[in-house]
Amino acid sequence: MKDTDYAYAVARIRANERYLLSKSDIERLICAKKLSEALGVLKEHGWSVSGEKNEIENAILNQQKALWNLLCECVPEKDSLSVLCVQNDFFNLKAVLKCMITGKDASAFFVYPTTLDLELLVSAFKMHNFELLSGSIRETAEEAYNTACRTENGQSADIIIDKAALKIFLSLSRESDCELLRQAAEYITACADIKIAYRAAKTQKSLSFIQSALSGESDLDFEALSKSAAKGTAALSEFLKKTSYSKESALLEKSSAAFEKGVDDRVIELMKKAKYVFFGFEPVAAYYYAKTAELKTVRAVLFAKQAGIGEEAIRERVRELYV
Amino acid sequence: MINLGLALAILGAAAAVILAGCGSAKGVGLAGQSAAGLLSEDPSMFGKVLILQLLPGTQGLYGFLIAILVLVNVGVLGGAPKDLSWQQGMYYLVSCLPIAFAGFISAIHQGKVAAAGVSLIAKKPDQVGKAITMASLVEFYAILPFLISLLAVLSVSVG
Repeated sequence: MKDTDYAYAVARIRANERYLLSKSDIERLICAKKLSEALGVLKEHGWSVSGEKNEIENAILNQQKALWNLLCECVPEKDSLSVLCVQNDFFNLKAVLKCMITGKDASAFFVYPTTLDLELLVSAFKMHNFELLSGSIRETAEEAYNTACRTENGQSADIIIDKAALKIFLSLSRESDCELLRQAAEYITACADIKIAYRAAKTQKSLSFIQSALSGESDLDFEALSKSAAKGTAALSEFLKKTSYSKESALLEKSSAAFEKGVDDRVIELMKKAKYVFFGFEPVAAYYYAKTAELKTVRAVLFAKQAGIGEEAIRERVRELYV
Repeated sequence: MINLGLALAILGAAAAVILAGCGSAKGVGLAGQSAAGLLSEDPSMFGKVLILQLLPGTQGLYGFLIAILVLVNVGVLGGAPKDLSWQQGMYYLVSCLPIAFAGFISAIHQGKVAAAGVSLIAKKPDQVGKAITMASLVEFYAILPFLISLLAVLSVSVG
């Protein structure tokens, strides 16, 4: 596909970028005295906020749906978008598997946007008929389900799903001809491996477990990363300091939330380069990540306000914004 | 029976109108896709993006004018076809080439600049003047070959 085939999409995306929340808008949200005042700020930016009980969740869900509909309408080939929500797809797969085991309703845990038919996914697990699913999801679902049943250990199934998600995300990003997305995918994969290694180091997991849990797809030295994690968090930090992920290592030592925020901020920094691209998939991918970061921020700010958390503490959780 | 000279002149006219026209079609098409993207979000911008979409269309018009001039000069339009030597025919053909090729290339590039300009207006509607100026700069490199082709065609004397 030629870059110029995205001319229509880029113009639509640029028109929608005008409605993204800026830093000053987020500051207004933080400083709002009442929830209704904060929702008023969102209304100014085209959010449809109902007066219902779960209005924050509903408003965010509506925005996610609107984002996906917009992207589906503007790109020349809908398949090109699957790379953007492959991680959500696999998260939903994990949710269904866990809920099957625990007997809970999976719909409460679903994340959007997703390319999966979620009802079909639930049916596939209920009927143990994975032929209903397609491609890589089918293979992963079947393998994870069989492993969970055999070992009665949800962690092994989680590892299978997480590894497959990263592998497919990376391979789709490489096929997408979008350099920014490829860079973001490689960074996200490396950070996912760092997080796995850190958790494993903290819980003193064995080397074989760590090696089975790591994706092995990142640019980090697989052997060195797993061996340092097996030695403990200090050895892992020492190893990461010698790599280009020293900042991420420091954030992880601070807190898991700080690490997640740091990763999201770095991805947005990368995506900001798309502001200077006028043809191609880059502006589409950048808008997706920009809107996703905005929604995470709005959710964090509004729920923190509801919980009575102080303004300074809220500001620490605010993600880097695209505009 | 058409002689070689007349055939070469008609070939030049055809090249001018076809190549410049194809370039314009591509350029206007690309700017049009961008314009449609913006208008689907904000229909009130129609007036602003229309100028940008029209700009890459001028090359096709220049090619068309040169072709008409050649066809009138050689008598295909408005008279009996003239008896041209192959040298005269070749002169007409070569005279048409500047607008044919430069028109083709410049129209495509102007279309790209115009489409990028539409994206600029989509995000910053007050920047319409800058977007039109940038696209108009490419026009300069269509006007120059058009003038050369025009002067060359007008300077041919056919008996």
